[in-house]
Amino acid sequence: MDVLQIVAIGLIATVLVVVVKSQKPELALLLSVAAGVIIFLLVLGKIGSIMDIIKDLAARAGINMVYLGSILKIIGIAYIAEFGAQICRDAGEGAVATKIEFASKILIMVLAVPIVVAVLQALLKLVP
Amino acid sequence: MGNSVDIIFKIAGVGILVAVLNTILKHAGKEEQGQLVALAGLAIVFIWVIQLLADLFDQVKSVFKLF
Amino acid sequence: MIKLLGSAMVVAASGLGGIAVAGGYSRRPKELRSIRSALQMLETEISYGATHLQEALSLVAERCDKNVAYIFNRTAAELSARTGSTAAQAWEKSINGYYRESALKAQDLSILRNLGSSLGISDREDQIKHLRLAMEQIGNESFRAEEEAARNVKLWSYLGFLSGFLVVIVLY
Repeated sequence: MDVLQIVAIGLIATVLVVVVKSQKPELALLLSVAAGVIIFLLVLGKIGSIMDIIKDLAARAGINMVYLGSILKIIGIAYIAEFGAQICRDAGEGAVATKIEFASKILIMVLAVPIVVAVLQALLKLVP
Repeated sequence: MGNSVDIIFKIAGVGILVAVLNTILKHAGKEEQGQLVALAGLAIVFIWVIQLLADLFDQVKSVFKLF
Repeated sequence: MIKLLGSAMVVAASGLGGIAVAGGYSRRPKELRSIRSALQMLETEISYGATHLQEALSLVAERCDKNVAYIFNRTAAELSARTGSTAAQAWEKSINGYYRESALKAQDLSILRNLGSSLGISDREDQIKHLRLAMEQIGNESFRAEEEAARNVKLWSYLGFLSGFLVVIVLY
């Protein structure tokens, strides 16, 4: 079963990180990054299929594809920023983590602006 | 799954061996060589992890169609 | 399967290399001690035996530790061959030949070389003084060599195997 594999990889990686952390903290950090990346890569295929289904449903519901694309990109930015920020926090660099999250918020705003503008225009059309 | 766990074990193995070699060399008075070995181990693991990250970002780009 | 064999070979090769270096460190004190006792025998021969240098060297070669007997044997052989070389030159050739196969260091070789330059030239008391000086210096070196050996033997054996393992993990 997939979840068992992933939990096993996670546990093994955690134990090894703790072992290495007492001797060489920098290598422990790299090890935890590697473990996170590997687990994510294992699930990425399934995420892709889910997104294809959502796109299919959206197309059939008649939603403009542009909006759906923006939403997916926003989800992607949020995930990757969280991944990076958590790794920084694990290494004790809270400041760097906060900066990464701040930057991701800005980027999400940039992507969201067209949607917000479209919503406002629709609202203005409603109000005479 | 088999060869993903491989990378984790390789990194952990390099980490432990580098720590042991560092301690042995420091104990024998050859501290500079110890630091050199530690740096070399760090560089090798770094290269592996960067390759993994590049792989990840490529796949994320294609799935989320970010760029 | 082949990968496993290859890794085993890399670890074995590197480990044996480390053990070889460690062996060099552990052999040096023993060789220095053998040389010192052989020089002691030579001094005894010269001061009590009143023999010629060549005979003294052969007698010492028969009785001393077989590893260092080469030096005395070859010097005696060169002298008896009457090739016209002085005792110093014969001694020089013998210690150079011995040095190549031994675990001795450059400073040990220079002690022996200084001894050689006084062989067969001066009278008996002078020879004995030079021999005693050489024995004293070799004694000091062997003391230092023992300390070095205590530190380095284990170090190099471990280093060999661990670096082998490291290479295997990086390249696996």
